[in-house]
Amino acid sequence: MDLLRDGLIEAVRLILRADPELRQLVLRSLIVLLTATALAAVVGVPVGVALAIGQFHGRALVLVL
Amino acid sequence: MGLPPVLVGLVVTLFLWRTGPFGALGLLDTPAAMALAQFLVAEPIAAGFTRAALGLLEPDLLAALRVDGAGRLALGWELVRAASPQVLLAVAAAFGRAISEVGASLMVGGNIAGQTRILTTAIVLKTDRGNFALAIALGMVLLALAFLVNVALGWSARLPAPAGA
Repeated sequence: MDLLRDGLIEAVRLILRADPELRQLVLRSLIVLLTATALAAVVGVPVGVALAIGQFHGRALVLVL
Repeated sequence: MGLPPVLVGLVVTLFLWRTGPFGALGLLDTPAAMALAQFLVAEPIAAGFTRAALGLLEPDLLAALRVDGAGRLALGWELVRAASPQVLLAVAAAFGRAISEVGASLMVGGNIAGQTRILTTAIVLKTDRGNFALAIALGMVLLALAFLVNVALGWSARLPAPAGA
């Protein structure tokens, strides 16, 4: 259990003192994630709308994906 | 609905490889490549949930809009507005997919310290090396991040209060 307990204590310590490596990772993760999510929304929602109301070639294939 | 992240990682790597079709762009092992890979993993989720949400709308609404002579764009916009809480949920699901995948990010980003290492790929590395304290800390932050973004999206998408409440 020492592994878990020591790991947890040290983890909380790293977060509380805003470890520079940790801060950098959080920032980069947020940038990548929010870029990807924004793109997914801008492209995915219209594609979803087209799938819901439209008839077009390849619709069946896109539906499977 | 949804593509396996490792497959996306493979295909994006092939396209961005130095001698590949888009190799000249030099995007492999950059955060841009990671965002692209996560986008490809998340986009089908957003599309699938949006389609499902619109499928639940009253068929009368679509018919009425068509009678009104709404163009395709206006029609789509009105439907998205009518199902906006569910469409926001679709975006939240896409975010959830992006934050939970690690394979594609690892493959196209290379997990380079200070450049393309992000929370998920760092957890893989730190756990591998037995640096559990940092791995746990990263895990906690990742969880908090997912929670915060979902609360924000859920708040903006909050469903109307049930009738009579």
